[in-house]
Amino acid sequence: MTKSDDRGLSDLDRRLLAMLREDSRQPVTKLAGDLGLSRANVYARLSRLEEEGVIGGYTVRLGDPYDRRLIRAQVMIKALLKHGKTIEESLAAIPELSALHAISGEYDLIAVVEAETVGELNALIDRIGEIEGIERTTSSILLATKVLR
Amino acid sequence: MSLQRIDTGPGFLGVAADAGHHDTLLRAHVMLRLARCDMAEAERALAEIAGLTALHQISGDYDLVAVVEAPHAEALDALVSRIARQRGVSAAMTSRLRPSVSRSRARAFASATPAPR
Repeated sequence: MTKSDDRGLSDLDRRLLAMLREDSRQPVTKLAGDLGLSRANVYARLSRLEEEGVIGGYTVRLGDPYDRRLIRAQVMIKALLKHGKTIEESLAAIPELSALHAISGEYDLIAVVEAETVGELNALIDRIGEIEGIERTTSSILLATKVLR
Repeated sequence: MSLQRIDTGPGFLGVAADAGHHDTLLRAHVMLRLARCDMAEAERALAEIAGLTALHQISGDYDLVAVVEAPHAEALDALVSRIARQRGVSAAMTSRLRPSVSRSRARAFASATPAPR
């Protein structure tokens, strides 16, 4: 099997990646057939790409209608320092939390949460406010994204 | 689960930051209050700033959230003050992202990044 070239990848690697980016759940048999390779070759290629960190993981892409339906809010959190660790753990356990950043300034953390309804969002924000050690939160619903680049 | 392992959410900080790349850029999150009459114009002017990677309209005390990135602290300070001085911006609250804890390795969350404009 060929190693990655200086630019990182061989043409076949690139084609394989392109196919996976279209649909990462394609069976290896199909990938191998389309590329004209053996299944063993594709398996080896995949594990090499994973080892080299070219493939960082396989994920789910939410459909636009679902993604657009989600209401997102940023919750700025002022935390008591001594509870920092447990707060992070409690927040991380919330599945609706899509991001958490430590910040410096007036607040200590910014969490981005997603919910399907305003009611759910409300419950979610309440849940965050109830976590021990959180002094106060300020929430803003993301109304529109003007720039993202 | 430690904070390092929580990934940047999709479509919030900007394309590069949301992808969770290990870059060396510093980032700040700036909440902005706008003078009502200048809103559209201020948004357009902000969108032209090169270091700005995300701009969201929000509900609440502030009107907009901008995310800016720069290679070093002085450049970040300059960007933040440029934004705060922008015509139509009446108040700004800046939070610097603490890089050691904002960065993360793999994406833990399913996501779809909205198309950049």
